Amino acid sequence: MNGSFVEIIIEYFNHLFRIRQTQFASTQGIVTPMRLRTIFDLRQEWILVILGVIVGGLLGFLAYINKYPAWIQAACVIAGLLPAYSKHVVDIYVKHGWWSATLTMLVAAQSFHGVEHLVQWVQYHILRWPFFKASGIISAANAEWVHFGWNWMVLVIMIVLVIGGLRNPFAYLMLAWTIAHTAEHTYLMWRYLQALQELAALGMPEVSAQGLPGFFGRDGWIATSEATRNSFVCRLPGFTTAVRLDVHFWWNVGETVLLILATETTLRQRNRTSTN
Amino acid sequence: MACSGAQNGAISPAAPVVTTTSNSVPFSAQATPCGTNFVRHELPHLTIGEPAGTYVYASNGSGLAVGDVDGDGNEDVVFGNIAGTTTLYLNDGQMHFTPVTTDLRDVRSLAIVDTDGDGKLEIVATQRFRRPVIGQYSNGTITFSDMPDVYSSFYAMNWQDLNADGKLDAVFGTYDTEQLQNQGLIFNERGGGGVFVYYRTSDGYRGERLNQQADALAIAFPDINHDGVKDILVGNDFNRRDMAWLASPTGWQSVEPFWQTTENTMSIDVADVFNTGTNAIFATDMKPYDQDVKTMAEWLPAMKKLTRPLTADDPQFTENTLQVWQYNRWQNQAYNLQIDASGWSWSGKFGDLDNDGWQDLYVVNGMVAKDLLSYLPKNQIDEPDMLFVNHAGQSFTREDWGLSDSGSGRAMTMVDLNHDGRLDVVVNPMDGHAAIYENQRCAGNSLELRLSQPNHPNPTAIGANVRITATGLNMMRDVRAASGYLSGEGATIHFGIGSATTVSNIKITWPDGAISHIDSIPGNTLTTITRTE
Repeated sequence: MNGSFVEIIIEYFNHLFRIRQTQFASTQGIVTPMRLRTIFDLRQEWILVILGVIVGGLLGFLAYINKYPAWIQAACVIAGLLPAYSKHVVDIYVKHGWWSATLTMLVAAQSFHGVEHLVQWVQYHILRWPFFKASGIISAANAEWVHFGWNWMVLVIMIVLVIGGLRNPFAYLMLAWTIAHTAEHTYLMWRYLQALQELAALGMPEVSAQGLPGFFGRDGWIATSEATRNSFVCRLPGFTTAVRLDVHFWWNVGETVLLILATETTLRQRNRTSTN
Repeated sequence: MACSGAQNGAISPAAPVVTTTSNSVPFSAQATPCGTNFVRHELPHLTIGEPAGTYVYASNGSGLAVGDVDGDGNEDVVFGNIAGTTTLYLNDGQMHFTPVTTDLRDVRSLAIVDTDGDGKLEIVATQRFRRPVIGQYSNGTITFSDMPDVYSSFYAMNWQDLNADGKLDAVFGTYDTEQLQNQGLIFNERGGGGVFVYYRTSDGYRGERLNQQADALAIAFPDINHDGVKDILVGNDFNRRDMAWLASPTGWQSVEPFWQTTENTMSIDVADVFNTGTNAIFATDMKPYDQDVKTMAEWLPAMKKLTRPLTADDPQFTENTLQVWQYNRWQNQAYNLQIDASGWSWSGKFGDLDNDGWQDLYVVNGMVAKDLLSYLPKNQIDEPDMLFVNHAGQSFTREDWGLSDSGSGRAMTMVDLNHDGRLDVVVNPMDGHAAIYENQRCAGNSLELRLSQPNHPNPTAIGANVRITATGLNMMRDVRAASGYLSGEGATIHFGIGSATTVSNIKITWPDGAISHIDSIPGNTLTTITRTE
């Protein structure tokens, strides 16, 4: 491998592709076929899971009695489970290769992210918490730069997976969905940074600009643009009327569901191919 | 529910028909050239908050009111003040005004009404930390005296005959947050805070307290439950929910009729926006029209201080609302009609500014406060006042028409000051000179009506309702004492009638429920309709 960045990328994709071909051609009968449920199946790591729950729970309790914020307590418990899941991903890598391990990590992470948005939705609509409080489990992560970084990471991994073989209608739809979602977060991040600059220029650097509207939803760019003002576009239910929390809830519901459907479809295809 | 003195009951099903006489005077020949815009005339009156600069609360500004105080047939204008003094401008009907100065300060709401039924209009003012006063104009001077039997210091007010005895009653609301900030918990020792109805008696007023607390910036009398009787709606600032009371046979009944409301209700206007014969209710709040980053950065620090986060089941939204009666419930259509955002809005009112038969919306806005906006140049959010033109009730588009001044507007009303059949606009801004925007848009015909009930305790028929037909449209207006933010209304009602030259099917519902019918009235006239029985 030569040293240039482009060559490294090409080599990586070649590697992925070789693994995929190897899996198709030579793994039948040797390795248990990977299924969707394998991604979430931690039974083999039960000792680590129990230890993780105990240690994470203990850390969470310590955080609780030391009056750390609720999100730190929750993060302690979740962190306790990370060793078990990391071991699980390594196992998948050993048995099924890089592509499957990458897919596993994405599905698991996006599912957790989807749950975060579901929790926000429940906090706001069911528990009737105010906006600022309805920030999910790891509330400190409900920040503009985290959303921005997260969505770019999902997009890059999704591109890698599609090139590596995640190819079915759900996967293509998921890719398009992710591109649109990332575009919205890029717009949000740009506005956020601009607003911070303006606030700093006004001598108010301590004021946050978190939570400004994006492309979609109530007061979003589409709803308030001079190009659409007074047209039916400004009144499309949800599309230009939903509050930001709902807009991003639905973005992530779509992303999670499409990713799971795409994964299930591809894994079924592979397993059929490998057993023929 | 409070014990009642309210009229509380629907109008009798067989409302009596009463006869009238009418006198139509053609509008004056237009001395001013026709154009497409309003032309600004600045008056010397300057409303200031504090000598050393304007801080929050004082920056809420002061009111104005319109009415024929000197009985010469022309609508005069009184402008309130906070640190400066209140000024009455006598109108000669040709856009010339003679100032009458007073020593009245710390004025909030103003109205020009005949409180005692003597046939002469009085100026009523609520004041910061003082009782309301009533001013009598005579021979170039105004003499103010305390309003009898009223002891609290109030902010918002409105007038209407609420117990069907023919006399004008008043509803007042306190602004508790300012009172607590300045006077602590002992404020309003004699009267207390909240919303009060004061019923006119033979020698004064009898009060009924509807609740204990308020941050009332606006009071209106829409018919909330469509039973033919006016109810009470109070718009509150600072997350305090708006309050509504229905007139019922057992007294004032508290209700929450709207599933979505403004959060910081600055003004309320009640108008038949869609020519359906049913009033809509418009309330203003604080939401920037432009959401570019520069504007948002200017707004964010102040909004973080002023607004509290709301839960999903809270009906309050920080934006203008237009409550429209649809499918037997009130529904907010402001967002759909793109009139939800008009800046840091104060008085917002409907009036047919282009005489096309559809009432347009004008909102004055802007904020100045040395403490709250210390991070901004001039301590000011500087934004243009906003005109939204009504296109046959289907949509609103923002236009300029010379009405986009960027002063910090507060009180505002629409009135024809020079008898040309066109509504002019009067504004009392904060830290700025009062201004009259003369309507020089020569488009469309109009009709102006004055109702008269001679020898009656409510001679200008405040509370009456008028329906007409013109250019195929059925239009409706109410005679009101006040609307919008701190703004007293004139008793003359205005209909734009487009190309029509006559108006037909005039139906007047007088404040006591009696009805009069008139077949037709010539357009382009100021017509006085006098009740003869």
